[in-house]
Amino acid sequence: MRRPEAVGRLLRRSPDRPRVPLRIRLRRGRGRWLRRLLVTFAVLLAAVCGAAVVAYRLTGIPEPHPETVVQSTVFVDADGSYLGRRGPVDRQEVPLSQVPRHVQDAVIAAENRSFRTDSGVSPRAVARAVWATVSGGAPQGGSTITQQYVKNALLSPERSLTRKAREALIAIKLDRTRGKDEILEGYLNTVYFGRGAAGVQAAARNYFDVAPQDLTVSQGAALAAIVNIPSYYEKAGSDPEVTAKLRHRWEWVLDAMEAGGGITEAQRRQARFPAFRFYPPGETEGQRQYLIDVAAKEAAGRLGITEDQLARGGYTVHTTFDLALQDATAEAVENHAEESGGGAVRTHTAVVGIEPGDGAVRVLYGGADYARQPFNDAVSGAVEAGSVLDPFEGVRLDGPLRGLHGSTAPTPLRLASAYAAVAADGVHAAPRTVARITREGRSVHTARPGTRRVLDEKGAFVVTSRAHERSAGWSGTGPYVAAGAGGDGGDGGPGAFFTAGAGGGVARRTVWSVGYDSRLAVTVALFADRPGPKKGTTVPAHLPDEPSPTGYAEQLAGEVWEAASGP
Amino acid sequence: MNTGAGIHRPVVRVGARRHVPAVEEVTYVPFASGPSPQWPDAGDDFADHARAAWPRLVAVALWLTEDADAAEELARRTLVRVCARWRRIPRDDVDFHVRRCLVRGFLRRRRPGGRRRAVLVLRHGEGLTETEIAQVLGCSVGAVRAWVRRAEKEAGAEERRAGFAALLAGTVPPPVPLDGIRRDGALRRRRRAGVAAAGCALLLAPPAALALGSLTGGGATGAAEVPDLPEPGPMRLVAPGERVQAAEGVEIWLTPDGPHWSSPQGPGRFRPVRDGNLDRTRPGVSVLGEELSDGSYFRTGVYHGLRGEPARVEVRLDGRTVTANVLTLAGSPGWGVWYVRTPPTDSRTGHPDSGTGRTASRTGHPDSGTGRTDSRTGHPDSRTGQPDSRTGQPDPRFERHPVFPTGRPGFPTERAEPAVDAVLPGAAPAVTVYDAAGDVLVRSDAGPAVARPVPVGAWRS
Repeated sequence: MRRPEAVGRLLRRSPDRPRVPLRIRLRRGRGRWLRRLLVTFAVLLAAVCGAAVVAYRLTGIPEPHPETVVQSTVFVDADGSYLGRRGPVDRQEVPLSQVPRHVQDAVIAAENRSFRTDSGVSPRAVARAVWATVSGGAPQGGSTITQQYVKNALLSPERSLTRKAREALIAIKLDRTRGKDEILEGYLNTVYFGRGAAGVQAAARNYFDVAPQDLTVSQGAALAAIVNIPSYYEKAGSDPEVTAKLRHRWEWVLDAMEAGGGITEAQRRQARFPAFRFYPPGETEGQRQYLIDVAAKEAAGRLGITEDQLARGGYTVHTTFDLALQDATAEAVENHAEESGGGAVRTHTAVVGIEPGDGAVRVLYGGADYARQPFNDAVSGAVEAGSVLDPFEGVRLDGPLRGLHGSTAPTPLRLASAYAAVAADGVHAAPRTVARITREGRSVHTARPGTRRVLDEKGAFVVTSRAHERSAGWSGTGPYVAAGAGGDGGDGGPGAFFTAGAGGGVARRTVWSVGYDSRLAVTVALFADRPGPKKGTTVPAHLPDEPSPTGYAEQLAGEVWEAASGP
Repeated sequence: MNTGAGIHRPVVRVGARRHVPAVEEVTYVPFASGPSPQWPDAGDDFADHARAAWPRLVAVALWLTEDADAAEELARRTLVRVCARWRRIPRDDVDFHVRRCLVRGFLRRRRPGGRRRAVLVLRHGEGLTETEIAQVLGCSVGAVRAWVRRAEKEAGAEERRAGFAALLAGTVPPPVPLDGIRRDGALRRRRRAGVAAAGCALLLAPPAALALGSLTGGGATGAAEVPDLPEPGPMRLVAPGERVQAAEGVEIWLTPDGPHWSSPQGPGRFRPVRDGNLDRTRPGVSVLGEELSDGSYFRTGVYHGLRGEPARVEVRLDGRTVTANVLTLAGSPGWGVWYVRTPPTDSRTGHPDSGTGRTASRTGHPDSGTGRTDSRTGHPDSRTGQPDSRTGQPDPRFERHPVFPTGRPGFPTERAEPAVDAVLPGAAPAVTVYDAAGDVLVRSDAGPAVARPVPVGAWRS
């Protein structure tokens, strides 16, 4: 070994000792290097952990995203059948107690099986997702339900790694500060199910036309299966391929539920793939928007909020309408309209059915098609009264009906309420279309009939007897009068059925047909208009002679009456 | 032990070194790298090496501990450790590893001041360089240098060396307890192996469990048992009042009261299911037919009073089985509407209709008495049509096989009257409603009730 003189100091220390080979020197120092490496790692790890802790401390749980707070308001009829909704998104919140346990289990089984035990994030799920991606298996999501909830409801929709980290931190914090049920409730109320429906309530209606508490095991599992790819599965039912795919996933969800103990083996065996509503759904009668308009206005007034606030508030408005009766009425009007044919003169029909003594509006027909005529003839149309007010002549009217004598053109609703007051022995009830308003399962408003005596019992008797005279005076009243009168006779209360109007002969301007007994007061009003000299305007016209307008009005009133008194 | 006595001599010789303390430092280098004179190369044999190293080990241990018994124990422990990992000690650097083992064993016992003592012993007793000391202690050379310098302030190198020599004076190293060392070494090796195995198992357990879990999880999804059930027919849930375009000009909608039809033949037909019009206590299915403007037939009807949930409605027309569309309201109301559109068949209506391919496509199973089985196991939606068993050719349309032979009595080939349901016992088309398991719920041609066999012995009770 050559030893330069410069290293003389070393030489002095060990002049006769050969240098230790580098390999051995490295081996001797190996432990030390390993130790250094370990320490470095430990410090780095500690730094990362510290940073994570600091980030966790600094991260606050944000307020729910404004878009996800908005709910729609749903209108249902007296039986609870769906009438329609108002609002920017199809979403309504329901308390978790109204979501069956098996639906919760299905969602947990489909999306995040360890939801009840994990701590907001699931490293297992992440590892499995990574493994699935790496190994080329079926792509899986690594997000827990908590993370999805954070992503859907609390954060803005952007995709980045920092957002993902923030999401995980918030998820952990959320999991530590809130109960699992609370998180699940939030999730079920915000997650998108396709068909424009966010939340389990809207989804249950859009897919199965039921309330969430009525979902079966099969339906709940199907909804849970849909959450995976809602924009694809939303065509379930109408598209055979989608239906088959969904069915496959539905089986998978049920198997997972059985494995997790959510359902028994017998339930699993008995589960049958459910039938779906189609999307987009078939059209419904164009009538419903009229009803919603009226009910929304009234509900907003009762709650003291604007209609816009109502539409975003997530209320459920239980209206007084009888949807079956309404549909039957609309059908009857439509059939008659087809008979009367076209022409420049358009016949308007308004039908109002009110429950005497209560004021609940059961039927309200104010136009054939909301898209063409948003104006509601029954509520706001001033129809020339003519002789229909004659029975009230000389009878003293109080309260809301005070000005009725003088008015020449009452609205059909007002006239119906007047005769309903007669039917209720002189007690007037303010017409109302809202029975109850609920929100998240709790009642926020219950409407009571606003009754007031407007004419004494003698006056009511006088009006009824005059009306009876009139019904005798008109020709061709046919069997409907008999049917109506028969109902009265059996009931023992006041009742009448007559037709009146303004104008006569070929120059008939309006026709009213009124029938009432103690259970229902029906008013049918006919009038006509034709296009005016300026575009978009109309002028009143005479009612067409063929078919006979009085016959039509009587027949229509009779049909409505029959439909209402049916089983 | 005779070998123990034999090993004595070199130690005495080493100990005798203290009589020549003035020996130049550099000359006193007992441990060079590689084979050294004091630590003869033991080859692979631990016993040889242990015997050779023992006196020296005891001496260094004595310097370190300054106590004869402790020194012997320390040396013995050192050899036990070396024995336990003898296989992994590099043979070209045995001395270093043994020494390091010794020092570590010493430091393990005596923490405060231990390193300082070890530095002094290695520097002045053993005469190692500062670099080597650093390697033995696993610290930096600078640290060793600092230790040495600080110690030199208290006492000079010569003084130290003399001290060490004095310490060694008169001590006679005990014989090497080789058997005990070997036994303890083996024990220690086994224990270490066990600990290492347990550690590895602990380390590998979570990933293994995860992999296993994901495997079984994947297995559960893969092995999803699809019950061997017949294909359900097209069932559609509708909301009350929701209009369904069943065919050209034909609308069907359902309300809780019953089904409604609107067709070119009659607008707004309604069949109430509530008011005793239909006997809802017994299962039944009705059939209604109507000829459409394009010559095809539209057939519909109501099933009601079923004992189970219907899953499929099949219509058999002159030997062909057609799966009908089904409409039902939510909440299992117990009734529903089936409808199907069939191509024109009558020679009077004549013209072949291209628009019927859609309906025909979901049909098309030659029925040889097993039509029901065919259509369940077969292809309910094959658009190419099935080979006809009678003609042997694909026949997507049915002109050749009249669905309604003229002259068959009882079937309304003419316009069906509105509000008149033609319930046709024993005549075509036969409508059958199956549940999800493939069992017949009701059959239109089997009469209103399914005849139940009288169980044996029933007459007695």
